[in-house]
Formats: sequence, structure tokens, C-alpha cells
Amino acid sequence: MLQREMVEQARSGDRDAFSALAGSIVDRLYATAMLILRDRSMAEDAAQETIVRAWRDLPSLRDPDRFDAWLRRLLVNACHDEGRRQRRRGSEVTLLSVHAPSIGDLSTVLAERDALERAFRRLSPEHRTAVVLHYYDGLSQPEVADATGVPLGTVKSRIHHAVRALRAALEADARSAEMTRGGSA
Amino acid sequence: MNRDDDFDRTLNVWLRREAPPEAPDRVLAMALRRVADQPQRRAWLDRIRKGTRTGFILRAAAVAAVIVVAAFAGLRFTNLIPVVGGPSPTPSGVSTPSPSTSPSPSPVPTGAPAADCVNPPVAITSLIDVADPVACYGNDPLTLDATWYGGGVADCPAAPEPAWLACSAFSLQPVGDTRKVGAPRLFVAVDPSVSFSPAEPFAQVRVTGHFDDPAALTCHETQLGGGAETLAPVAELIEGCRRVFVVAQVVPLLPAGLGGQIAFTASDSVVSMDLGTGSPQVLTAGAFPDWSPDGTRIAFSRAGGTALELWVMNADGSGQQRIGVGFEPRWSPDGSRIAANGDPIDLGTLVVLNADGTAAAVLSATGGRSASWSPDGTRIAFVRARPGSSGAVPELALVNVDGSGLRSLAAAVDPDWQSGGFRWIAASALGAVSTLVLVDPDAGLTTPIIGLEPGVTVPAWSPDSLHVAYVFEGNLYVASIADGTRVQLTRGLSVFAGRPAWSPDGAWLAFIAGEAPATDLYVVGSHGEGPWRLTTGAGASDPDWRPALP
Repeated sequence: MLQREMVEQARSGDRDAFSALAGSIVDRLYATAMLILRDRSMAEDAAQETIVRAWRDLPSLRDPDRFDAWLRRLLVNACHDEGRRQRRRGSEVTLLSVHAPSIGDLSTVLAERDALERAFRRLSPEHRTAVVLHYYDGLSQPEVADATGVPLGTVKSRIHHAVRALRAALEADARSAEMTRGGSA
Repeated sequence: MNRDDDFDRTLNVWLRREAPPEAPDRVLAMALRRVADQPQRRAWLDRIRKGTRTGFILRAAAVAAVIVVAAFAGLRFTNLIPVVGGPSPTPSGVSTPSPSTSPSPSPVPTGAPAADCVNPPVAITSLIDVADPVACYGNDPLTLDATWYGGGVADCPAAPEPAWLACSAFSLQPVGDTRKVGAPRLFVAVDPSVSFSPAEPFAQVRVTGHFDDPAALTCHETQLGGGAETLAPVAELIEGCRRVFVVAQVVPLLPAGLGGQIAFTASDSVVSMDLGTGSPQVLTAGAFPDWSPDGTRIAFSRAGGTALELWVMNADGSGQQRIGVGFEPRWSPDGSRIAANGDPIDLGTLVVLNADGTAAAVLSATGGRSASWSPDGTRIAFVRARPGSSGAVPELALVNVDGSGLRSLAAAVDPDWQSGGFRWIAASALGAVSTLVLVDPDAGLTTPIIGLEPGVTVPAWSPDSLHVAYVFEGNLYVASIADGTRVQLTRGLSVFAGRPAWSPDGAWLAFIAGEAPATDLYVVGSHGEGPWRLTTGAGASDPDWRPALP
């Protein structure tokens, strides 16, 4: 069954169709939530919440072809809700395991990864969202604005700020590595 | 390829590598389980589509509600929940009964569209209920039974709201919520003036309050806003609308099977707590409450002009009658007389009064502490100063109720006479360290209870006289009198070395713990269930369980 058919049937109250639809989107929702939230438990909650809200509010979706964008916005809202709770909770963030790199020099990739990871975590959830939607989901900046519900100028500003911070982190890490190598030579 | 493109590619590769390939199975499973219980939002959408005028009115009402709630937040909590040190006659730390049927005075504007609220629930039974913006709660009182997970005020940037509101994170998980995914999800911003801070993690509490529904209804229109999962004086901002849960009362959630009534002292008041609801009632100014054997009256002490006076009142605080002078009253088994300590100096004097105040007699002029009646009501064990000693060196003594037969029994304190046809007096023997002993009231012989270590204090017989509760190194224990096997009932609570009170059925014990003056009343199952704290910083003491009514 095509996604459009599943959406239409689920929108009319077909729970089986919605189950199939949810099964086809859950991995993508979880992956995006993980990138934004950087916490497994919170990402699971956000993905779960998005699915529940999608079911509940599907009748409000007038154009089934807009499902992906609509769903993405639900996810962004769920992630930001989780982020707010996390900030209020002030609890530790679960550190992620290191995925085995598939390309490139191991030490370089790991060093880059750590530097990016640290810098990425320091970004606000809103900045991380903009980066993830733009660089991972491949949305244009106007599409990011639509998904996050903020003006295009704000999106541009967030992406600019985030990229500058991430780039600075990588460069600082590279300089540090250079100095270490120079010092030990 | 330029430098920007290089970085973009690096970032893209890193993000793809970081993205988990698939979600854990439980995410979909739990989501679909929730979906199975959840209707789609059709009726509400139909209402929205019918006319924007209603929506505008509701939105305006919501804005007004938020403004008023914010403006009156402090007043509301001052009014509804006793504030430590405040002018309220309620002792601090003891919440007054919830105005469960009329949560007033509430400055929150009402005006919820009652026509929309078909059969509003009276209890929040799951997180879904709380999160579901479709639910229409009206302004009716709601309750939520939850587990307290602790929390605190996070270090967060300056916010337009007070830090305790913007950044406090006390979390609750509704009792019965079985979701596996996610941590406790209900966060409560706690006004620092509200007496709401169960100290022990995982304490069970019952939160009572009501939603400010005009705001909630406006949230309905914010379809992407998500659920309002915050119980707070002023809830989270959600897409420009607030859903407010006005907290009216938080009481401990007591275990099933716990019931009856306990009288205790809270600061300078005699308080009676209904254990079915956890609701306390301040009966009068006074201390040292002691229930009559038939459970209809309470003897207590109150500071008079020049002395501590003895009073008797009905169980609801009415019919107060001054019957004499003294404190630490103890009713005789037949309810006709009251023994008490007649003088607060040194070990005082032992006095016996008719419960109606018609007569009184001094039975011992050298001490009268810790009076304990014999089961037949003919004798009284008590603590007095040892004859001939200089100063108040205590000993256990015995006297007939007519004043005859006064004699020493043992070098011990804290007597508690066994009931139900048994004969022993349990007491703490004095020495380098106290030892729990059984005293033969006829022979005066003492026998250490088998297997109990030195250092135990304040024994209390169970109603069946087969077990004895006691305090040892700040913890409460129950020991079998037959073989000394014991169960430790508390850990790390700093139990006060005052006599614990057994429930009439022997299933529960009430005791006092904490650091003076902010001591609290607790109950614990006699087999180790709990404990549950019943007050917060109340300055509690002298618990006495109401006898089973005939």
C-alpha cells in the first residue's frame, strides 16, 4: 500500500492502516529525534508522542501529500517539548555509544566525531533542529522554517550560528592536534 | 570543491553516522498501545470549523485566565495551603483538608464552557488523560495519585518568570502508569511557599486541584502544541497558550488497608488525622493527646496561666472541659479515670483524676512520668525518683490506684503494661546502655527480652501482646516476644525515641521521626511495608491511635 493510501485510510479512522503507516515512519522519526535530542530515552518518548499525536490529529490533515511535512512538524514540536522538560529537569544526558566508522582514517574520524559531538551538544535544541533538518533530512531553509514554525530569517540565523560553532569546534580540535603532534615531535 | 562544501559534507556524513538505523521495537509498540485507547480528534475539529468566533472568545478568556493566574498565584497558595510561620491557625507542615468539593477561594476565573464538558472526569488516571488536550475537565476538582520522584530547581538562565517556576523540575509519575518508554513525565513547578516536598524519593502522593479550562480549550486549537503535561501553578507555555492546573492540596497517598484515626501533637496543637484520606484536622490548642478506651474522647494538656492544665474533649474537638492540672494523660482501661504527671519539675508527681473532673488525688510526690495502667485498672506503673537519691535518678515504681502499695520495681523507665490477660511490663532497663526487659509486677524481677541488643528504648506492646515495638539507634523495630526475632521497619529516618503507637488491629505503627523541631508523623506496616510520611515539618509528637469503636 502506498503511503498516500495509508494516510487517507488512517485519516478516516482505520487503525490497521495507521499501524502500517506508523511502522513505516517510526525509524525515521526516532533517528531524527535522536539527532536533535542526543538522548535515547527522550528520543523514544518524542517518537512515540509524535505517532500518538499523528493518529489523534490526522483528521485535521487536509492534503495527504503534505503528510511528511506535517509529521515532521509534529516531531519537531515533540522534540522541543522533550527538550524543555530536559532543561527543566537538569538531568544528565545519556552519552551515546560510538558507532563504528565506515570510511576514513579511524583516529581522524573519531577525533572529528568527538569534536562535533561536543560542539553539537552545546547547541540549543532549536539550533540542533535546524541543522538536522537541513543537513540530515535535506530540507531547504524555507522548508525548515515551515517545519519549525519560525520565520525564514530565524532559520537562516540558527543555521549560520550553528555551523559557525561546529566549524570552530573542528578547527580548534585540529589546531590542538597539530600542537600535540608538534610538542611530541 | 570549496571549504564550505567540505564542511557541509563532513557534517552530513557525521549526522548520518550518528543517526540510529532503527528505533527500538518498544517505541512503536507503546505508541500503538496508546493509539488503541485514543479516539481521533473529530468532534473538536468540527467545533473549530463551525465558527471562529467561539475560538476567539475562548482564546481571549485564556489570556485573561493566564494573567489573573499569574497575578494571584502567591495569594492562591497562601490561601489554600498553610505557609510555614504564617498566621494560619493550622500548624505548619500539616495541610488542612482539601476543599475537594469547592476549591475556594480561587481567583481563577471560572466560566468554563460547561456545555462542552460532558461527563468530565473526577480523577486523572493516566498520563494520557493529562496530555490529552481533547479531554475537557471543566473546573471540577481532580485528583492524581502519583509517585514522587524528587527533583529540584535547575540552574537556568534568567527567565521572565521566577526561577522556581521556570526551572524547577519536580517530577511525578501517576500511579498505575505502566508505560515502559520514558522516564516519569509529569513535572511540577512547586511554589516555595507551598508545603509540598515529600522528602523520600518514591513517596506516594495524592495531588488535588483543578484545571483552568478556558486555557485548556484554547490549547485545543493549537494542534501542534502537544499535551499539557505539567501540573503547576502556571503550566508550561505551549505554543502561546497555557494550561493551568491549580494545585489545591498535596497529601501523602496512603496504602490500601490503612484506616482509622491518629491524634498527635503538631507544634502546639492537637491534630486528628483521618488515615483513610490523609486529611488532618486541627482540634484545639494543646499537646499530649490520649484517646479514651472507647474512642469517643481525647484527654490532652494545654498551657494555662500558671500550669499545664488537663482537659478532655470529644473526638471532634467539641465539648472541651478542664479537669485539673497535669500533662501526659493516660486513660484507665475502663475510661473512668485519668493518670497524669502533675508537675513538670524533675520527674513530677503522679496524679489520678476522675475523667469528669470531680476528684483528684496525688499518688506519688516523687515522680509521675510515663504512667501505664494495669489491664484491670487497679495499679499504675510509672517512673519516679529513686528514694533517698539526691536529684532525679529515675526508677520504675508501682502503686495501687487507691494510693496504697507504693514500691520500687526496677531500675528502668518507659513502662508499658501488657494487656489481654498477660502480666509483664516491658521497660527500658537503665545501665551503661538501656536494655529492653520484661518486669514481673508482683516479684519485681526483670528478664531481658531474648536476643535484643543493648541500646533499645521505648517499648510498646502490640495489641495481641505477642510483639513489642521499640527504637534502636534511630530505627524502629518489631520483635517477637517468644523468640526475639525482629523486623527492622525503618532505615535512616532518625526515629524519635518516643513510644510508637500501634493500630488497634496491630497491622500498623505510627511514629515520629526527623530533626526537632521539624519532626514528622509517619506510619509503617508492622511487617515492614512503607513507611509513609503523613506530615511535612509539622513539629509532630505524641501519636496515639484511636481505639476501634465498639
